[in-house]
Amino acid sequence: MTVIIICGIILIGALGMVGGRRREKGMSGWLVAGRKLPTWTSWFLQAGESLTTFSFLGLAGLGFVGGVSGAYAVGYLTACLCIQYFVAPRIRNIAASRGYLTMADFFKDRFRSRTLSIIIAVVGALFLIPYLELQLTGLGLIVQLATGSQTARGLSMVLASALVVVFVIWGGIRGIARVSIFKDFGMLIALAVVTVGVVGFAGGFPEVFAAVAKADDALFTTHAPGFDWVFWVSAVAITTIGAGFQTFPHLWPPMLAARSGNVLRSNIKWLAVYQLLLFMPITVGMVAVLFIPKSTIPNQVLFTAAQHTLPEWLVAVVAVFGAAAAMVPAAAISMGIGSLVANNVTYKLAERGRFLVTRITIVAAMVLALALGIVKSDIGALLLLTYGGLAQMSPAVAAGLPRKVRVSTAAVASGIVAGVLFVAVTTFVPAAGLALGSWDNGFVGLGINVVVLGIVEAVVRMRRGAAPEPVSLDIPAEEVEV
Amino acid sequence: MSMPESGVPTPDTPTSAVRLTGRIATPSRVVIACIPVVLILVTPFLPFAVTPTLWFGVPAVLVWMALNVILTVVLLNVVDAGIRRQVREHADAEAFEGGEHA
Repeated sequence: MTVIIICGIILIGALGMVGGRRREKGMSGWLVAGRKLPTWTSWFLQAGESLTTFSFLGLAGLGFVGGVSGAYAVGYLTACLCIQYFVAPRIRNIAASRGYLTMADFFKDRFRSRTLSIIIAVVGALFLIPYLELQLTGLGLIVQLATGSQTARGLSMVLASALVVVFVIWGGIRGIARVSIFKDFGMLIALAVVTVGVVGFAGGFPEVFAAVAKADDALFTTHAPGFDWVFWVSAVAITTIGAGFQTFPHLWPPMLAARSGNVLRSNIKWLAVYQLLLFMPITVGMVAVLFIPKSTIPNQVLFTAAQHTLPEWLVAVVAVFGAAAAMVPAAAISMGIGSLVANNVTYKLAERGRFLVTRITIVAAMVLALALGIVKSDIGALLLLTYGGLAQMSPAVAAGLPRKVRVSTAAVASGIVAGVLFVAVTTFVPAAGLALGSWDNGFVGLGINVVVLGIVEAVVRMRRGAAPEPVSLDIPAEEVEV
Repeated sequence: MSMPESGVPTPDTPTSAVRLTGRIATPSRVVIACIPVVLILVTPFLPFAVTPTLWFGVPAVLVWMALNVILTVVLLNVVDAGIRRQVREHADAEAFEGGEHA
């Protein structure tokens, strides 16, 4: 089984390198494909964030512990598209007319502040490290669960990390797009195989849900132990806002690479159908209640259930597709970290120098994340900081979208600092976190962020005696295909 | 691709692409697009999410969320069709005015 999985991981890495016309050598071609990606390539890049190791391991675990409460993930991944539909094409068009390559470029240009862009780049890169580590840890866990081998876990993590570094540096965004296509079809097959196997083993539809109801009917409500309406509303709201306003820096290259805003809109209006796939791991988690011990660690539910119900070779195939679900986001995240550091921190370097810094940063970030993952460092708290912290940039992104930016840099920066500090304190100080109850700390932090932004903006205007001169850009009208 | 701000395609550009004048995110379009967001957010307050309920043998909350996914696709397509209609009408009006002047 280990051999099948290792061969699969090598195949995934090879897909990122072969098929490309040549090695990407220029920053723009490598990072945003010269802003020429067509509809279908953009589709798989845009959809990439919907299907990750969280879809494989996390959602099944949520279904196992919280039942239908796990559907909150379907909720925010769907709801964010309603915001993205308007925001993403707008950002893409501004970026194309102003030459942005990263999220921090947007802040530098729209708020006329190099300092703000450096802060965004550093904070964004640091916040993405735990997310990168999560992907590698998830990959290792999938391999360990499938093979039962601790050695295979470490080996697969090292191998996958090395291959991701190579194919990202070699193929850039086009390489990630090629692997994304494989990953998405693979995830569909893997989730369908596991769902059919597990549900069939437990008695088939719809009888299986009647059996689950007898075992634990609280799983059919959004109020299972540990879950309530506060959790649902605040978690869905903050993630919808954060994802809707594109506050994850690694999602900017796929967005900026689209040939037009029209391409993004055409995809986003259909992308919600992807979320239908997520009902499969939730169902697997709920059904697993019938035949695996309640003490099972949530992240291990999907593969534990699969091993009960599927032949060994099929579990290996599922593990390969699970590995792809980790490698594609890992590639996009490492690219996002590298481009932020090179383009916005070492901005004084010539393009060739920045491209070199990008590659060095990708290697460094991957080594750091791999080291954290292999020593099983508990960075769960840092991951909460990633989600809640990055969402604090949403008011600033929103303020930068109109033709004229009417909010001062000081107000935007103060809001971000206040929001991030709140999230950090409630993440690392247990007493502060407990006081919040089920409220998502990123959601509360965003409220504080907006209040601080408003107060600082009022003070700035009072001291100036008038509203600041808005930063205005000449953004060409968008082309729409009819 | 050359395109005048008027919205009328020039002979060297594909006739399928027209420059959009006016806003895309109009209040009515934003309200339509946000309907699924509200429905998703209120889910835990709905009766079938508070007490264990099955619809067609499947947990009601899962059926509800699947319906919201489908509704999102439908409403975003409705909004998109409105944008394309606005662009077409603008292009037609510009072409008509151009013909009158000629």
